[in-house]
Amino acid sequence: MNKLLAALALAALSFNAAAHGPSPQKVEKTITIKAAPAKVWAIVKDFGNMQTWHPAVASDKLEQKKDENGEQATFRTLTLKSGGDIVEKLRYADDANMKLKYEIESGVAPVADYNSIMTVTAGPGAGESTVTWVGRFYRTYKLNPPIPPGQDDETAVKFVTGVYDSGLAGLKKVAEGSK
Amino acid sequence: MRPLRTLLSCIAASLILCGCQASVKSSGLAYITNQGEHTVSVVDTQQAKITHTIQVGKAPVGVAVSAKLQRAFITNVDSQDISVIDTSTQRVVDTIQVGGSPVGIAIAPDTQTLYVADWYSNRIVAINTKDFKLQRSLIAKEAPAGLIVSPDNKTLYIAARDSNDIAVVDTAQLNITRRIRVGHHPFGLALSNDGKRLFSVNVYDNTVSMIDTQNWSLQSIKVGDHPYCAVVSPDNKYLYVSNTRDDSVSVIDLATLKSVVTIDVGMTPEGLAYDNARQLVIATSWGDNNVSLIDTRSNKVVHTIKTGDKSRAFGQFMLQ
Repeated sequence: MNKLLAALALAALSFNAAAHGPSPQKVEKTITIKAAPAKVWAIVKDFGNMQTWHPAVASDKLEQKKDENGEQATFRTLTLKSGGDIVEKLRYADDANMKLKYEIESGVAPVADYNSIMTVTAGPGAGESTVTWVGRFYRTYKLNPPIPPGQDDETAVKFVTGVYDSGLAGLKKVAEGSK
Repeated sequence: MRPLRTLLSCIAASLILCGCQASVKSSGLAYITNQGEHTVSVVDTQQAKITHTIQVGKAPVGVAVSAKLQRAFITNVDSQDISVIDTSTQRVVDTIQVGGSPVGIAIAPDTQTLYVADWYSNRIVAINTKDFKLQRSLIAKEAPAGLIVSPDNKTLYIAARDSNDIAVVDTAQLNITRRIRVGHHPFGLALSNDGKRLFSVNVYDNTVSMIDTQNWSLQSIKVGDHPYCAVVSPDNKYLYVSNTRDDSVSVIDLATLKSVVTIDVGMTPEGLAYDNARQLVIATSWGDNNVSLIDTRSNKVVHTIKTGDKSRAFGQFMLQ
């Protein structure tokens, strides 16, 4: 038994810290909003003002700086009402397809390698919009089981689900509120 | 003399049969693993539709197919086994226990041996396709990901993701004879059809390493963000690469090693395969749960077909 445990411990140590598990996680949420797509998209693409619609965000600071490839990029720092920051990088805000893509650079979110797309489409009804928010990410614990509590797939999925559910509800409220 | 005559008549008969089949456009089936719902979608690329959805083990990722064996082999990471699909009936006919976390998979062209990469245990398992219980194994170290076998069956290439190199394995001895340093985090592998050029897709530095398998010299090709997989056209002129963070496929001209066009596909494209009969590239989208069929003559998406949750299709998944 001891030998087995020692072998397991040794095996765990040999993993490179950069290794991810073979199972990326996904959360996808959709909401219908009774507001014109152009109006909803204007709110979604405003990368530096997430606090106007997301109930968990206290403030949002926009910044232009060089990314890890030395290229100029747009970043935002979200300060959460529950405390802590999340730094995100804008990949693009595509007006033609009403599609926004961003990634998490660092911060308190219990996820790794997170990237996400928000899309606004017209319908289902006239003057209505459908917003889809989809994210891809891994848990933060990158080694073999046993996985410490709070660093597992379940924690990561629960966190992102909470962000999307409350965020989409907030977005709907703001977009439908002021006409 | 009699056996020879029998053999000749068999060959003649099979030639006639082949001739008949060639006159109708041969079917092509793509086996797409859906990691989020434990199924495989069978896509008929001629009709551009799903013909079957097959329940397999838990969290399927990798695929290797053989027309000769009429089998598709599927790695299931969470149930730690391989589902064996009979491609004539589209049913699971066997399950091979391998343990660990099987991800990458490849079958030798002679169909004698199936190779499986056990991600967490850093192990490669070589399985005899005539008797699945006959297994040999090799400790490869550093998160083995993509696998591919040379056309002469003598060499297995392993993308060792966390040591940033390719392990070259002598398949007779099942030992590593060489390690080739590539870019940061190699994941998918591709080979030219003559086996002379090996391509390693390097996730973290957005490159593909092109390796000359005669003298092991290496050239680097710039591609899109977080590339995962690659496939070479049958004429060895173009390389197709899935860029997971750009949601696109890069088309690389192998004469100039430059990208000629980038094609938008679904979110997080992973597995790629080439459909020879229809000159299509099939790109599997993990994020959008679909496959895009790209016509390689126009480099345009001609069909998008809904598959299942978290489609990956990591490996050689086109039965043709």
